Amino acid sequence: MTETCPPRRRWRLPQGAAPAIALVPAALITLVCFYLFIGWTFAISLTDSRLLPNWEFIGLEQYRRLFASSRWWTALENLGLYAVLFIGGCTLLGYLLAILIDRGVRAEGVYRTIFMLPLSMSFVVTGIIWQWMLNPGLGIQQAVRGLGFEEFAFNWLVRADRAIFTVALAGIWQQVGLCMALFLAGLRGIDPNIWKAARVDGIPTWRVYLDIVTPMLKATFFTSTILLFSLAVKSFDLVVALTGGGPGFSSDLPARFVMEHILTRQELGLGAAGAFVMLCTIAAVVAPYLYLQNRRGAA
Amino acid sequence: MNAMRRGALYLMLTVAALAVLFPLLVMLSTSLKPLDEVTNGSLFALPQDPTLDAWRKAWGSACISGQCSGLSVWFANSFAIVIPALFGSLALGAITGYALSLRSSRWSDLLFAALLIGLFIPPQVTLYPMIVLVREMGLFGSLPGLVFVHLVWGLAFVTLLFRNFFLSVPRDLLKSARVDGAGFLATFWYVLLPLSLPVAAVALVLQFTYIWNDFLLGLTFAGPGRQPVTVALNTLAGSQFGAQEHNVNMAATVIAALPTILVYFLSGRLFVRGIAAGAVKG
Amino acid sequence: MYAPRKSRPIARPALAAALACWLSGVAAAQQAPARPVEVMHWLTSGGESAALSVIRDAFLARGGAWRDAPVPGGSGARSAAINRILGGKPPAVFLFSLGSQLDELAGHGLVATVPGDTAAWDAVLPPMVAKASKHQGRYVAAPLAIHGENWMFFNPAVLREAGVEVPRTWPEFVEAGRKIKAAGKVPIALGGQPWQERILFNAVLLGVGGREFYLKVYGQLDPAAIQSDTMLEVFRIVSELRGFVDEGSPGRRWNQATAMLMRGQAAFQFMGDWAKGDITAAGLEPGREIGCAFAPAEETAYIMVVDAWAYTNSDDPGTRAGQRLFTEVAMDPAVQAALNQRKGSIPVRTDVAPDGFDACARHAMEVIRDPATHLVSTGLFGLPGGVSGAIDDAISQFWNDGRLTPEQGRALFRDSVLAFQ
Repeated sequence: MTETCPPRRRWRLPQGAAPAIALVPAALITLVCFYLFIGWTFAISLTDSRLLPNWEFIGLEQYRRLFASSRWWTALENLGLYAVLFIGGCTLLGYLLAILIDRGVRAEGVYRTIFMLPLSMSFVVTGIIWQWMLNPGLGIQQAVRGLGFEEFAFNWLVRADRAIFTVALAGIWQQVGLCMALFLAGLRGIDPNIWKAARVDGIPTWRVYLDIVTPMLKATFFTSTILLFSLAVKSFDLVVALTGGGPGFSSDLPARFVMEHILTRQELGLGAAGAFVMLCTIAAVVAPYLYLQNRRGAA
Repeated sequence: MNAMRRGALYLMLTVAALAVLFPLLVMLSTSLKPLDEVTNGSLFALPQDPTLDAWRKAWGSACISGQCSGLSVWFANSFAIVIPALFGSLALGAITGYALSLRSSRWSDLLFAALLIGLFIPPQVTLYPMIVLVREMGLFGSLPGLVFVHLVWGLAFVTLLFRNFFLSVPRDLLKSARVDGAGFLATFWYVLLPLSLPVAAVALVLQFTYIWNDFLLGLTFAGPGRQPVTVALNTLAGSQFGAQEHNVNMAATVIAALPTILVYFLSGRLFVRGIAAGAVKG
Repeated sequence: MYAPRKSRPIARPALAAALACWLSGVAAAQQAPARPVEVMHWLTSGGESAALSVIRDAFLARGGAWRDAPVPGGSGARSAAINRILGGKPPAVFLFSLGSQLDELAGHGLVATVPGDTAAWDAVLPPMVAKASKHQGRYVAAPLAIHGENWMFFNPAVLREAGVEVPRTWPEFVEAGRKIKAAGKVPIALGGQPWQERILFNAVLLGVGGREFYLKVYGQLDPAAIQSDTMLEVFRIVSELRGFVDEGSPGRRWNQATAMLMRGQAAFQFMGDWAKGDITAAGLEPGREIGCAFAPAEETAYIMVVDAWAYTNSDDPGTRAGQRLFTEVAMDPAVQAALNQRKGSIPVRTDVAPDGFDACARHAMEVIRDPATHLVSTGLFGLPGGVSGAIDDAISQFWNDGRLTPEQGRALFRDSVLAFQ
């Protein structure tokens, strides 16, 4: 490393001061834009604010209303199901695609770009396309029936008990490229000596991935799970564009519930209560995960 | 590796690529149809009479905001936003991630945990306090204001990527750099940054995607006359009312996504290099 | 327009014309706003933007300077306007919906009283529209257009094939629907989104209950009306209609449903008169190839939906002059006629002649001469968004869950209203 080092410096900060200074902007943003804003959200959730904030406190009334709403419960259940399907699907498929690409294919750039293309598309038009394709009268069901399979049925989009699966499907389609990219970057960080050693020992390739490489990518799995979870929680545009939360409100998600109440229903107080419950739930899920990860990282 | 296994590899990749591409191909084929074919024909039918009219209209003559020059005139605004916001947030996230990865005190782990909440706050929910903050900074309705908002909402994501990557870099490397006399910034610049190219590529393409595709923040904070191309795209394609020219909408979507697609292609070189640069595997 | 600059002898009439032209130019320059008026709106689709350009062109011709700020979608545009106001850089004029949101903005002092002369408005606006445009007795919004919500569009060819007449009552409609279904067509083209389901539901509510009943339910949230047998009958009819839509209904956009009608796949659509825009765009004439009638009802009534221009406070005389000019232009009878013909709606002024409107609009203009026919959509009664939203949820839940009985539907409706009282 000597040859890349800069010439002698004129002054030097005390040990440990430089990292601390570097963290000041991030710390300020975290404090003000994250926690102060969350505090504001909590305060608003204790008021009867409608379209605009007002400071007439009504205690926990908004929370009582929130949990009395069957729609909110539906949205929470849907989030659980959606998060599992979405995170599981993206992780498995994304990891698989990254491994395939990392085997050293020609035209790697073409494949990589193709898998990431859906990320770049606008939600509105993506929603229209998927809605067309999944609509039983226009899309895949109709086309397959047209081929002579009269009994073929694929009507999940319009079934109250299946609509959330179609949202997960479109979500995986859109975000699988993100996982692929993350895992590819992770795989590129693996020490090539590992592969040499494995070949010398005659271990089959799939065993190397399963038993050696995967544990080494722990940090990448952590990153991607957190990211996907945050995307799942914030999923809003996709539901709006694809199912509009329907049929009825069977495919509603908490983020959409919150946004609709704030934006169109003059229910800022109720929406803020929903948002706060959402954030608390997330903190409860993420904190233990984070703790374990840090512990292992420290070990 | 024998030929059959390579064949299977390409087959799997190609099948996956086609599955991902299928909805996009439907989009593309729709954009090449005249409007009556879109309205009356089957969704999956190939264009009988392919035409670039919809593309021409979306690019140069569709009327948006009473100005009939299509999406073309809106791109400059988007670039003016995305370039400072992208590099600002990458720089901030990389240096923060680096400082956090040193784990020099208990506080840095705590800050990292605290910072992650930023990933989960939907920007729409805290739009009101953000508007007030930016207004009080005197930046509402200006480019610096919008860049600041993008910095805030990109911080957690970019920091997470870099911090976890830097954590996986062998400590010995950092120690030897210090022995050689490199300080905090020098270690970052000369040792860690070159190693982090693949993860920087991920951060770059995703931040570019998010900022480029953002609609709400641009609409709210940019101020009149500086709004990004997504605002024009949504104006064109997002309406629920009136006859929709779906062929033009599809063409407009692809056009608006072209810079992002270009970035995906161009980021390739960053992706290919890594710690294992040049090594042969398997 | 202006006198030629070349130095050649000018004939007297030309001179006079030039002088007049110059004078009017000076007058315009004195009135002309110093800075452009930023207009925020959601009129982005073909017919709507053509309608808006009527106002814009007239505004420009009279010396105004216009800065367009479109945001697609009503709710998006409304919150964008509010956000800009909160940020301290508001648009001068913005489109908004009449109702309790506007009332709340006015209550916070965030919208200005309509600049310009509004004294004559009481005489020409329908009373319910005038009332909804005011806050504490003063106009805070200038209505743009009156849309009607209780329209029933139909494909006459499909009706002929199935051998049915245009139904006049809901029992007749149910009868007709069965025949159409037997003939292999979809009786009702419905986009299964809550607001479209509400339009269908309210058509039944008005048709079965009548004007008084509609006013009691939505105007007063009258518990007796909500728990009445009439309400039960409404839910019973609605439950019969569930079988009249096709499988692909949920989530469908309303214009896809209109397309089903135009292609002859479906017989009826219950939709606001903005559907005429799509019908015209497809080269068909509303009132001929696609018929329009009021939804079946015992009593004739028109459920009006009105969006309106609101104004932000400004200290800048130029902006205020621009706002004044904007009001004058937007309420000008000729502008009102031209813009509403393009938008598919009817003028907010009742003193505009029906010449040049299509058959459906002429019928509506004829009907609303009788003030007893005036009704407004749920929002315009000033119901808080939370209440009307909860009612939407109840209607949508009932419509989409075939297991719910009319009794349960009525209870859902009642609970959603009571939760807010």
